[in-house]
Parts: sequence; C-alpha cells; structure tokens
Amino acid sequence: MVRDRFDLVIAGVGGQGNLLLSRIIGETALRSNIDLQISETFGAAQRGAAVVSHVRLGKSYSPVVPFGMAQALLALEPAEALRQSRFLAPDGLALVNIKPIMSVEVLSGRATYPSLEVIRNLLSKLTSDLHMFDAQGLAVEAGDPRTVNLVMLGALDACSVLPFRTENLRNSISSLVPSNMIEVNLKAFDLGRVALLRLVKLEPSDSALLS
Amino acid sequence: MVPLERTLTASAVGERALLMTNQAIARAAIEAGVKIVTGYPGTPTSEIIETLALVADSLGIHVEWAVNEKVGLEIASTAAIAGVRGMTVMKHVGLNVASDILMVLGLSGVNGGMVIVVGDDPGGWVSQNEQDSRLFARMADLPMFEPSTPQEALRMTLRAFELSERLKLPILVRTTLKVSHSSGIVTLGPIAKSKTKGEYVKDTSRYYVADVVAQARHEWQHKQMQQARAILKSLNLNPLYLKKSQKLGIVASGAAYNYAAEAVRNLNLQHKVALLKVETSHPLPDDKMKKLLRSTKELLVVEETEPLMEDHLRMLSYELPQGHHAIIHGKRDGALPETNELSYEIVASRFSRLTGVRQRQNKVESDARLAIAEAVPPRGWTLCAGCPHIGTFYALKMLARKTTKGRIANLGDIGCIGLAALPPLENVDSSFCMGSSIAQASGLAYAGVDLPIVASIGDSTFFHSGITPLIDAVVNNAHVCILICDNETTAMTGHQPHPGIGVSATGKSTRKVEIEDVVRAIGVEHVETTNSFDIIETYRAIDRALKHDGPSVVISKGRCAEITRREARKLGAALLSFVVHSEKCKGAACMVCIREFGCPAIIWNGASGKAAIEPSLCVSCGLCADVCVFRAIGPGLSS
Ligand SMILES: Cc1ncc(C[n+]2csc(CCOP(=O)(O)OP(=O)(O)O)c2C)c(N)n1
Ligand code: SF4
Ligand code: SF4
Repeated sequence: MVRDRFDLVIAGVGGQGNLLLSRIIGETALRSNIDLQISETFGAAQRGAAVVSHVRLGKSYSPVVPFGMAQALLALEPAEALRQSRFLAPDGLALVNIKPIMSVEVLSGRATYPSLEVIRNLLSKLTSDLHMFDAQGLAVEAGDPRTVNLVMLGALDACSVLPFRTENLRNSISSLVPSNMIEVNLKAFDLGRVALLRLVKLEPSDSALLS
Repeated sequence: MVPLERTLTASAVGERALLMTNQAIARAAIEAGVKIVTGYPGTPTSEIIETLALVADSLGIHVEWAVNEKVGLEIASTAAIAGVRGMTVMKHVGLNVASDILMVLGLSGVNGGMVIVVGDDPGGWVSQNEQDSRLFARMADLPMFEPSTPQEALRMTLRAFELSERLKLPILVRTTLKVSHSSGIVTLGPIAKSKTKGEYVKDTSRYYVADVVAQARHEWQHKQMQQARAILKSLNLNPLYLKKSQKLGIVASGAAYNYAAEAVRNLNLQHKVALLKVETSHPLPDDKMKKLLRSTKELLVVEETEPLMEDHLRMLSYELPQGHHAIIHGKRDGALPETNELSYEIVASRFSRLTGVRQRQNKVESDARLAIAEAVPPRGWTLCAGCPHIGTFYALKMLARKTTKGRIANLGDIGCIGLAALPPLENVDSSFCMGSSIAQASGLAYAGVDLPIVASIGDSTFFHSGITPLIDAVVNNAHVCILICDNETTAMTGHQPHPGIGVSATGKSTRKVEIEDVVRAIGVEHVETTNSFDIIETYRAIDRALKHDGPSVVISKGRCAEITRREARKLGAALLSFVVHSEKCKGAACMVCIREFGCPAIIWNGASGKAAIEPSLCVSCGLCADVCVFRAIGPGLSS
C-alpha cells in the first residue's frame, strides 16, 4: 500500500454508476484484506440528482471523508468535480470526465453551466495533479456509453494509487457486472488505463497494461 | 464475488462480507431466525426490507410492505406475542404513526424476540423534519441500541432479539441516514434456529391492557427495565476509554461517535481525551457516565439531534458532590449546534478549541473555494422527464387561472407530487405529513375559505393514511376535491409496491385493491378517473369535480416515468423522442413549455433561440405536444 490509508471521493450524477465503482473497489479491498468504509449519498428516486460516494481504505472511523483529506477525486461529470472538490486534499489527484450533464436549472436557463476552461482553472487552484479527459468518448469506443464509470476506474488504476493489483480489480469487475456486460466493461477499464498513461506521457508496454 | 443472496443465507461462520448497514441488519434478522418482517418504505431504512425480500421465500420468512408503519408494528409484534421472532422497519416519522401501539407494547410485552428498527434523518435531508427517535425509546421506556457501523448494526440487532426474548420487551435499534447508508466489512455469524410456529395463549392479565391491568403491567415493565439495566451492564457494551490524567472527556453515539473518534485520531488526542461510546441510548450507562463525570474536568457531549445524553449527564451530576464533577458542554451551552446534522468538521473544530490542539490547516485559500462555490451550477430535485404528475399539475395550474379568483388552494402531500411545488409548475402549496392533505382541505373548507379547494395525494400515501380523512370528508360533506395521483408505485422512496399494484414485497402477484372501489365504497358520490398524460381530460375532470357540492375524487392515473424507463431498458427497447419543429416554435416570445410546464427533457437552445428536446431524457409521454398551442412539438420519427 502506498500509504496506510487511502481516501477517495467519487462524484457523479444519478444513473452514472457511482455505486458500482465503490462496490468494485470495496470488494477488491475485502479480497485483499484491506479494511474499508464506504459512505454513499444517493438522493430520492428521481433521475439526475448529484450522487457522491466516499471510499476509505485502511483504518478510519468516520465513513465520511473529512474536507481536504481525499487523496483522489474521481469525477464522472465536470461540474460534480467542482461540487465535491472541498474533499480533495491540496495537490491531491483529480481525474475528471469532461462530458457535462446539464442540470434542469441549466437546461431551462435558470442557471449557467461553467465552461470547461473555467472548471479547469478553478480545479487547478486546488491541485496540480489534475487530469481532464473525454471518458465519455472512450466509453462509446468501448461499446457502451454507460461504461464511463469503468473508464474512470481504469484511469484511477493507471495512477498506481490504489493498494491492489490491476488484475484484482479486473476480477472484481468480472464478478460484479452482468455476464453479458463483462467484456465491454473490461474494455472500458483498459481504455481508461491507456488514456491516463498517455495523458501523463508514460507509454505503457502492452504487458504492463494487463498486469 | 459472492452475490448478496448467498451472503445473506451463508451459514459459513466467520465469513467476511462487504455490507451496507441496512444489509447487515437484514443479515442479523436472518441470523436471529426471524419469522415475520414488516415495514413501510422510507429513507434511510427501505433497503432492509428490500434485502430480506430477496431471500424471504428460500428462508421461509414472511416479509411484507405493510400498509403503514402502525399496521407493520401491530403485525410483527403480535407475531412476537405468539412466540416467533418479529421485526419491523421504518423511518423516524413512521414511528410517530406507529407510536400508538408502541406505547402499549411495553405493558403487554412480547414472547418471541421483537425488534423495531428506526432510521432517523438528522438535518431532515430526505424527510419533512429531523426528529430524535431516542426520545421515543425513553417515552415508551423500551431499550434502544444505537450502532455506528455495519458490523455493530449486525451485532446489536442480534443482541436486541436475544435481549427482547429475555426481557419480553420489544427493543428498538436506531440508525441515522449516514450510518444506514454506509458500508463496511462484516463478519457473519451462525444462523439460529428459532421458533417457526406461533401459538396463541389467551391471557387477559397481559393482553387486555386497560386500567388495573395497565397499572400492574406498568409496574412489571419498570421491573423489566431494572433487569435490562443489570443485563446491559453485564454485556460488554458502551466502551469507555479513560486514562488517569485525562482532563477532557467526550460522550458520543451513532454517527457522531464516528466523527468524534476520527477527530481524536486526526488531532492525536488519544492520550488527552477520554471517550465514552454510548451504544444503549436507553437505558443510558449511568455508571460509566458518572465515572467519566468524576474523572474529568470538562465533558463534551456529541449526539444527534437532541441533547438527550447531555441533559441526562447534567441530571447525574446533581448526584455527585459539587465541584467534583466535570462541566458539561454540548448543545445547551452552544458548544455544538442545537439543530441539523453534525459533521466531522464541526466536531473536530470543537475538539480543537477545547484542547488547544490545532487542526492541520487546509492550505487552499478561501478565495478559490468561494469562486468554486459560485461556479457550481445547482442540481436540485425535480420531477423526472415524462412524469405523470407534470401533466396532472399543469392541468390544475391552467384550471386555477380560469377560476374567479385565479387561484385554487392545492394542499399537497408527501411524495413526488411535492416536487410540483418547484418552479416552473409551482402548483402544490404545502406538504406536512403522510395523508395530511385530505383533512387539511376539509379544515380549510369548514373554516369558510372562499376558494376552490383541492387535496393532492399519491397512491401509496392514500393507502397509508388517506382513507380515514376521506371518510371524515364524506360524513361532514366537505366541499373539496381529492386528487389522487396514481402513478402505480411508491415512487419517491424507490418504487416499492403498494396495495393498489397487485404485487407483494417479494414480487409475487397478490390481490389488488382498486382505489376507485375504495373511494366509492366510502360513499364519495362524484368519482372520476382520468389519464394524467391527457391534460385536457384531466383539466375537465377536476373542473367537474370542483363543481360538485360535497367531497369529490379525481383519480389521475399515469405510470411513473422512471418505471417506464426501467422497463424499456429491461426489454432493450429504445424510447422514441418527441421533437420540436423549430420552424413552428415561437422562441423567446413564448417559452411556455419551459417557463410554465417544465418537463426537464425540454431544453433551451440559446444558439437558435428555440426550444429543443433532449432525446436521452424524453420518454415520449406526449404531454408537451398538448402544451404547445402552435403545434410545434410532435412525435419524432424513429432514429
Ligand atoms: C410516516 C411516513 N412514512 C414514510 C415516509 C416516507 N415517504 C416519503 S415519500 C413516500 C412515498 C409516497 O408515495 P406515493 O404516495 O405513491 O407518491 P409518489 O412518490 O409515488 O408520487 C414515502 C413513503 C414519510 N415521509 N412518512
Ligand atoms: S420517480 Fe416517477 S413519480 Fe417521481 S418524479 Fe420521477 S417520474 Fe415522477
Ligand atoms: S414527450 Fe415531451 S413532455 Fe414527454 S418526456 Fe418527452 S419532452 Fe417531456
């Protein structure tokens, strides 16, 4: 393990599959004998509300990550990265999907959605370890736009911050998604890994990719 | 990975699983050999029933969504009177509804273990209020456990069953939103074989609870609670971490304990502060509390949401010689906020202030935080695209404009219909508690309010507590229109079935209770059923109903769009989208579909200055085609 504790905040919008991600990481931790706690905020039954999961690996007491303590923020949606940014530790790792999902307030003209440049600027005041990329495009490339969550997980894994091996994560993915969806989810995961490695200019050898 | 069903039924003792608190409570009930489990939907505890429903048949457990919490408690506790183990599950406000029977159960007692799980919502994030159920345990004088983690939830729920059977008293388990929805690693225990067949023994000295019986049983209950104190003391509960030199003590329970323990670690206060984790909210651990009061100079009590332990400590301190006990800090002296949810940040900053230990500062300047807060676009609650309630309340809104005063009093109720109070519909006036709308409408009518009066209520809520006030309206001939919004589900809490659906909690088909039959049987003379997705028809139906001199009922029927969406997904069918024909759209001069109607799938295209429809959100309900008088909206062609 990189440190004895790892705090992650996953930000998204209802329907993006936050909960699956915390489950995959959680089950992997369980198999790896790493203590963990998860706290989830999923509002009412309506679609489109903000959803946030806190995943705490290693010994912690509160399932909720204290402000400014998360080593990583995984944002499946750019505005949600802003909304949950108060949890990110100074110079923590921020991975952000750049495909916005407009809220009703924005769609009806009652609020404005900040541009990606504005979002990037604001987030870069909090951390230099910021990576914004088109996870949505990669999900489509993987074969299903709903696999954005797995693309993001792949990117996180490529950063080598999680205290378990890629193979263990892939195993958890295979056992947690419906059998007819395993292939596309693993493909999304791999595309996310490659994309992140490219972003940080570490061209991986193919074997490293699958390690 | 082990599927949830396997984990729930696994007999492998010592196996570890990742479970949410609600799932851990379900597992505890299984380990206890529970026979009957009832509940009514409500965040944060709904998942307990949903989890048990997965394995109810294979384990032979009767799991049901009761019509309301009172019925749920009556069923499960009476099964426990017959000697089998029972459990009932509800959210905090559900206990208000169930409280009538709760207050008597301590007198009659039970025979099989009976556990009442209640989920509080500090801050009222998903409820009409915040309310502290620990006060109910005290009022009913029944033991209550309060876990902080999934593992504790399992352990304490199991204990609650055992203790209940020993004391013959029902036992409460209290969680809060943050605890209920947290997950962690849980070690499974053995599954007990409990009684599977109830027996009925007539015993009027216990079960005919009135005057002398009630008096005798009240004495009995007090004896049982004395015994409870002794038993709880002998169990290894309420851990106290106290060292000699510690001047400051913390008393905390539930989620607040998690924040406190985290703050103690993060501020490195382990050697400086003593910590009492309270796991029995009633009866409180007096001995340990007194010990802490005697050993420290200052005490901070961290609890959600009422100062229950704080006041109790203050009371205990009177039993100690003056000047020989700690000063008590908490909500009463403003050390901690008196209302709303606590957080790690609030707790840690109070610890920091009391101990002088500085918190590690977050380096980011507040300007950056401020700029971010300003830039984040709101993403609030809304009705879903294609929600039947949009049709119903748009019709009502248009009708209101045509009335003499241009206004209809529309008393709302709990559930998704309440979201029609938000812009742009802004139609529902109020929301109090389950079923209140109908009697509130009658109240306005009898008060002589000179407006057309409507009570809007969801289908599940109608069954829960709308029938009795409707009878009242009929008997007293209240001139009100009751608008029952039948979306074929209990939507807001996650689409649970209700008596009008014909499906049980475990997914089996059951006898269906037709709302219209109920309403007619009560004696409502004017009853109409209308299609929520037909605005004109709904408008006319409500108009006619309001003209009826006396109580009338309009049942606006239309399936919840979330269910439509899910079914389409299951079938792999694409939902076609409606489209705006931009050449017919009048643009900024009109905007009725956005400013008045407000289906979230209709968006404003700033570039073209016309409305548009977001195909990924649209469910082709067709409502908007009626809203646009220029006929600019219509069904799209298949893509
Ligand atoms: C006494 C009580 N029990 C449970 C709840 C939780 N609750 C909130 S909304 C709701 C669902 C209402 O369903 P329905 O009346 O069918 O309206 P819908 O959401 O489907 O429009 C429930 C059960 C509550 N607020 N009060
Ligand atoms: S969940 Fe159903 S009833 Fe609730 S807002 Fe969405 S469509 Fe309407
Ligand atoms: S048809 Fe119109 S009202 Fe219905 S979901 Fe689509 S855009 Fe919304």
